[in-house]
Amino acid sequence: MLTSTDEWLLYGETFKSRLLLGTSRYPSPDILAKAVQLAQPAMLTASLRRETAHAQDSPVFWKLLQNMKIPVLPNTAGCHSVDEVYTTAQMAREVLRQTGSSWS
Amino acid sequence: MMVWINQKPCELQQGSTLKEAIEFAQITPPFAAAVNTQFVPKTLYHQTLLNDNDKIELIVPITGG
Repeated sequence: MLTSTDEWLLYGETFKSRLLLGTSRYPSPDILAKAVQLAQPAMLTASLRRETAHAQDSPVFWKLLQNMKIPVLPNTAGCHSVDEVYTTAQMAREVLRQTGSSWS
Repeated sequence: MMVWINQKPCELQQGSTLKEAIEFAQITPPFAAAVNTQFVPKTLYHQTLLNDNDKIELIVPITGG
């Protein structure tokens, strides 16, 4: 059960949950949405990848994330060097900025 | 000139900018760009001149975490 002492203060924002929920490998977008609705996590994590056939569902996924109105935390999975991590983090900030996220 | 967009060879006019390369790629926002592994902010797309054999990365959000 959540109480006021469970609140998580991070960079000036208060979260009622400490759960960071991944968005990968759900059987369908609908099940992902239901899981998020039930879990009410503090943040959802997402990856950033090259625009390829594998990323063709990106606009649909992003619309889903926006509808859920939960902060998105981009990860740097798949990077193989510090430089790559740094560049990916900068690119993630640019992507989130386009959505009006307060975390950009 | 030839540039690489997400590892695919693309023929662009000499003197093309990153903005023109992105238009060529027809990518749907939100996305972000890097040229030769260096991040380029959106405000600089129109003035970032490309050179032959430049490697452009365009990334989009996908499920993960």
